[in-house]
Amino acid sequence: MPGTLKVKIVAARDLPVMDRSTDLTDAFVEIKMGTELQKTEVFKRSLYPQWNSDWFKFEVEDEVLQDEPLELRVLDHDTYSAHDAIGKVYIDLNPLLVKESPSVISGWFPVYDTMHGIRGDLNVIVKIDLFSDFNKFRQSSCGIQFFCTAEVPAGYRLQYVHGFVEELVVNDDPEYQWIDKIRTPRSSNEARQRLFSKMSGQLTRKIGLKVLEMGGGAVIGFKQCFDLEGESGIVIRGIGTAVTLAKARDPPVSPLGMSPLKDSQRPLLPALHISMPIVMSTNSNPLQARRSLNAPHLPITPPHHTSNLAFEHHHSFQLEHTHSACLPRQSSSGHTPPQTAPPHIGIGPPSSASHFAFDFAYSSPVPEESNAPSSPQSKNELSSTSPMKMNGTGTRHSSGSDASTPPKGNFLDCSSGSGSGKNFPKICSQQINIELMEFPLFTMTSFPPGFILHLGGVVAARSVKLLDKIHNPEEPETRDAWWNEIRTEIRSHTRAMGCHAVIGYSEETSICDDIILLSAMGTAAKVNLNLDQYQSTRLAPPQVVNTGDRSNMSAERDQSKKLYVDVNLANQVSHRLGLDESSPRYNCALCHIPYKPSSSPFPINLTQCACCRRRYVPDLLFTTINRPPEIHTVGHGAFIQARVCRPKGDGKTEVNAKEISDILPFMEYELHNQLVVKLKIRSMNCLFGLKMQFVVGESMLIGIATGTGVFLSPLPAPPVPRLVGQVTSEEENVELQELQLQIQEKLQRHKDLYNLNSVEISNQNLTSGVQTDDSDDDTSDLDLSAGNKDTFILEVDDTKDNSVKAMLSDVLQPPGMYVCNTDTYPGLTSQNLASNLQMFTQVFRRTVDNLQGLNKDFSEFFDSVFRRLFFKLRRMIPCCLCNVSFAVGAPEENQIEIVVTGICVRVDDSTSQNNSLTDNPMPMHGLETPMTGASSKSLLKPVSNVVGASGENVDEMMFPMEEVTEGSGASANKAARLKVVSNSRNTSQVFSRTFHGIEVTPLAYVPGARIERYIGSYNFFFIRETSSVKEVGGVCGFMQKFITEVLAIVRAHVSSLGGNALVAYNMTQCVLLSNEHKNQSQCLINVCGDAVFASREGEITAVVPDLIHSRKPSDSPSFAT
Amino acid sequence: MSYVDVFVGNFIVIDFELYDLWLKGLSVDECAVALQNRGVLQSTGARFDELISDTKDSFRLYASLEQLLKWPTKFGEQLVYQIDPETQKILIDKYYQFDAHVIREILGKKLSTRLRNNLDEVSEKTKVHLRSCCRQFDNVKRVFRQVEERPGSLEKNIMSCFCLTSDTLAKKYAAIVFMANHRFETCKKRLGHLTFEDFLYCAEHMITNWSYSAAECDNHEDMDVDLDRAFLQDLRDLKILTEKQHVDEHKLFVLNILKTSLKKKRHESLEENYKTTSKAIISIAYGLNHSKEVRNFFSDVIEEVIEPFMLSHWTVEEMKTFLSVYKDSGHRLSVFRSAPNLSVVWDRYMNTFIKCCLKMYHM
Repeated sequence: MPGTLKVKIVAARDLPVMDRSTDLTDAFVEIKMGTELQKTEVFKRSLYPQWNSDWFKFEVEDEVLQDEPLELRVLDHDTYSAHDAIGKVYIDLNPLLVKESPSVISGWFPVYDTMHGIRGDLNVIVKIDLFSDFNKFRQSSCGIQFFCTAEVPAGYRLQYVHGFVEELVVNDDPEYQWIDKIRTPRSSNEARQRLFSKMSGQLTRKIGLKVLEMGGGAVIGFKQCFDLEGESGIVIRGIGTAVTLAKARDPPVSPLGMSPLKDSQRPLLPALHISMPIVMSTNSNPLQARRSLNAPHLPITPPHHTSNLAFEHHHSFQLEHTHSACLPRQSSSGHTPPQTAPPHIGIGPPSSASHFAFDFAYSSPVPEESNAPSSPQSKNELSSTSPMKMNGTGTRHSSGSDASTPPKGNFLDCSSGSGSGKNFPKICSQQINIELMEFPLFTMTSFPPGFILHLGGVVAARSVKLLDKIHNPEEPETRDAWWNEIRTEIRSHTRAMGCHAVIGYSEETSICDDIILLSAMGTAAKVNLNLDQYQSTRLAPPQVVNTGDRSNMSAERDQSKKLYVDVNLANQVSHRLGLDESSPRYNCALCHIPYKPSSSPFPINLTQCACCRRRYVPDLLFTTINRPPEIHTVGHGAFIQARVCRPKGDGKTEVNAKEISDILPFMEYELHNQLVVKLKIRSMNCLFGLKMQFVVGESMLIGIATGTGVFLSPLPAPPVPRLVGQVTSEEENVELQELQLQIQEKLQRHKDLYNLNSVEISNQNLTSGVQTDDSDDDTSDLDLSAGNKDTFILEVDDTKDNSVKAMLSDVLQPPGMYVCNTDTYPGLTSQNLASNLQMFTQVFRRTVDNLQGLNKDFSEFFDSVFRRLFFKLRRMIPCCLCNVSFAVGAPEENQIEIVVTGICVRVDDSTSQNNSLTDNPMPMHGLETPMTGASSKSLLKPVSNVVGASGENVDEMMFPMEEVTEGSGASANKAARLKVVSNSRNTSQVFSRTFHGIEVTPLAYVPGARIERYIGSYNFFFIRETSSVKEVGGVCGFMQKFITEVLAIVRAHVSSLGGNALVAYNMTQCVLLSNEHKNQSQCLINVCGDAVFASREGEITAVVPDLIHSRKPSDSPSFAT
Repeated sequence: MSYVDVFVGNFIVIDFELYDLWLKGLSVDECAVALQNRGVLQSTGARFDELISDTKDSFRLYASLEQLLKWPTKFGEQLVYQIDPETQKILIDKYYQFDAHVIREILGKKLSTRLRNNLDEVSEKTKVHLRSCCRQFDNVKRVFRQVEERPGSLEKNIMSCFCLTSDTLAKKYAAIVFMANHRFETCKKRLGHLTFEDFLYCAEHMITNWSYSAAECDNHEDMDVDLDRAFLQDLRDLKILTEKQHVDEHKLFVLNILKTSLKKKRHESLEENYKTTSKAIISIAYGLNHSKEVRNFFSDVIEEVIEPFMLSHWTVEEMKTFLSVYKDSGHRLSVFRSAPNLSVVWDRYMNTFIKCCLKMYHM
């Protein structure tokens, strides 16, 4: 099934002078696809050659099209000696292989040379004629769409989730081959770039094949990682979530007119109908295999150097260390918080952890569903499915204790709910059973409403391995086994939490010499995979259904079959069209614990949910996902970061590995402790977007954790931290009191800053309510009034100890600036986030002078990075720094590197008052319910009237939660609101920047714009080297130039595909090697993202040409032929 | 202390406060101190060394942008920096701004490397940082090189070659280029009191009236860096006015008219000096035909026309009256009637001459 690739070389501009004598260049272009090479004619003596060539044609297998990029090499013709290379252009052809994406790539591409950077631009047109072979999607995996976006892409509807896909490709690193000694740095770099690109193509193709096998059509949350293992090779890993997406209708067009179309909306699935999770590992007993693998190398620490720690909602956590020798040290180390008394630590072989996983696995959905009799039909179903659920659980009981192989052949639907009557059989046949998945891991970080049922907490697993002990470095088996081990462990932790899925899952490595540290983390959760349009409405929170108003409405809509419309809307609209926050369909069930209170896996302070008062919630909730729109938050979010840096001995191999795996749990504990304290000092009770990174350096171990803290209204308000210390003298006592005062002050400051002043009052009321109001049946085995839940005790060993002080002294952002590491800022609506101002990358590297004050220095580095960031962006206030992500490294001995990326989004103050309004849905509800069916025009007025009053209403928002959710949902209402939203956005547009250019953003959306279509994902590895560092402005100048160039190339590719933005941008790798004595530097950068076309309302998409910045003809579609 | 510390954005965002300081030629440290004194650190809680690193970062960016700023048309055909047109415009305009007193020092000189090497003297004299002097010099030189040989309007050429949006700035450069092209002598001691604005004014009028772009010129194809050759040749015909009969006739007319409007004392001194003055004015005119004489235009005007009047304390008003009468009465000369072309040349010359003369007439 070949395709014909057609390439036209139009022109080049601004080429470098290659011939000193004439100050000109005789340029020509080599076009290479696979092994075939063609050339243009030499265009003599010009820096602006115009070839305007004929079409160069290549007949290529689509496997090659997927694996290899089109390579264009610009050269200077030399009659006597070898032609001089000017630079190269690599064009990934994958976007052309997907239906519904552009059929042509056309535009100016920077000509890039690994030694000189960008040297002019090349204008190229590329087309592919794929032979329309009916079976073409069978062998290769063309047609599978890849999204780096870790959520359902805008404009699509999630139809099926097929599960986790992963692949791993290994190759030799050209840099370590013998030939590298004799070839030029340029050819070595180019060989490497080509290899990276080819491996990445292979990886995606292989993953695509797996997705096809599963019956999916796309991969979302796709992540690629490069492990530069050095001598043992290069590893590219890819993980993602296989899904089937259906095109969603344009919501603003006619939301109501869609109901008749519902049947045609079912997607045409590829031939495979029933999706079976594929089992990657044929090994029936991985645990056994693991032992045998590792035992020879590491006899001291059986069975693997894994220290895992699953910390959940609370500071109590479970250390699951298989090395029993470590345990005494843990309990005596004094690091444990008061709550974590030794008996609570989960001890024992791995299997013990999975024991309690089953007792409560699926208990809660059943009563909850029966609480929600939205229609008689569904009630019937439920009663019929629930016994089967029990059955399913039973199976797991018998087979699951090994936690290695999931039961197969169980076709029962264990996740709650299923389709409504009419469609039931159909859905059932296609339902994906999470119990059948080997690894129920989901790489997405945002989910459609109704997907998440309950959130458990963060689960993580880490493992230290030795690279030089890989038997077959060229083969992926060993690494596959390592990752399987880690994933299995994650799964068992998840089960221990009574959950069956891990969401917001990610994997990463850190390599130092021969040590590799593998880590994985995610959020344990209960999910509803069969998220069909009907179900998500049925999953409306019980309290919603209980209110008469709402149930009437839903019944009404059931009859008129408009239900579908509503969900469809919610589905699409949740993607930043500004409706997620404005539709107050809050669901506190997400925060409810997924296990029975009586059998919680670890000691936990449980309280009654402050919203429904029916179920239990933990007092703290940590998650790795973005804030689901269903969860109600109060106030603003806070960027929270914990950092630990510890010196490490210089042991070799096994000794080193042992030391590292011994230290890790303590570091992890310390990080966790810092996070908890920092949260409490901010009066918050939940972390979203938690990311942890552990780095192994030559002389130190680094761990950082970042997240966005918020106050969740269903969870109890955190108590004021109280200091407790061993006071021996009066002085110390005074100091201690001072410190306590400081904490108090800080707390108040934070409350002001994050708009949380209302929290405490309401909480006191709530707690008293819980204590007296003993209505629920489940409370029996939990004494809620006992314990220390009103206080949070900070232990201070020594008043000289700066650790507590350090936790208090975070750099605070200047007023008007908001910081978070999630996609959206809790407390600001998408209307507030008006437009992108600046995407930034900050690279910071310093040498640590002494290892004594390491931890303090380390924190100071971060503070400095923050201060610089705030200073740099001070002119953009009011703004919000979203998706601020940190990557640390320890590149050389005593060196610490911090790479910060993020985006600065303009905050529109004109709607910020509306924000508090949408944040507090009460007045909205009061106004809107009577308005149902009213014209959108009349709606506009009241909304703006509320603005003034909304401020005062914030204080009361905690109480009337039942009422709050009442008015949600009516589709007419929503359509009307949609108009309100679009209107308010129009007005805000007036103040926004007129120039948009090509946006590059780490977010999944473009603020102030709507993503019209996805054009293809971009992923490329750049290498840049120089042997004249001083001449380019030192290492700083070199780095600045290189990152600028990388962004320029990325933008050129986006624009050549007809896009105007790259979303979900991520700099996955940034490795800088520098030798200033030799005046040399080398840097490797890997970037990825999804090219999209986004349109702004009321804006003509074409950029108006002006005198200076005239648009190139190729940028306009008319040039296509 | 920090080893790598860079900040890169998708868009080029310029802190123009810092950019101005950079253009002024301040070093990183001087710049940081200046900013600190303005209190930029207070709002964000940043520290001085962070200000330094930020300044370094911005300076690196400006230095790499400088390559584009030197040839601003390249902004349109490069993909490396994403800059919005508005920022781009300000960047360029600011980059091509100059200090009048620095340019005054290099006005009319040959833009040689030797001159560039001696800019430290200029810097010392003007108290402008050497780096800024060099930038201004380089800008002038580049503009000069670029438009020197280019046909068409000088001002428009400069605007399009350097993407300047302000025509006043382009006009200034046109004047500077014009001055440099003719190598007008501006440094003589007796010219010391003239400012850049004075020369600018004169040069602008010369360009509009005496160059190829003048309304009187029928051959617009050539460049307006050069004086209209046909005009210069015509100026030779004015030599006839130095013949005794014409001088006397002219003198009679002038003195007659001025009898009422000038004070007696002035009238007398004019009567005394008339011959030399008139001779000077006309010899400057036909001298313009020789490029060497063109060079000395300003010093000749000062020395031979202005200074005698200055010595006898004429006011600008009186000077103006005299010159306009001198010009007008020329038309009544018999010789003009026989050669109608002469009258056109006379006006074309005298109009601009009077303007220049009065501009340079500093009391």
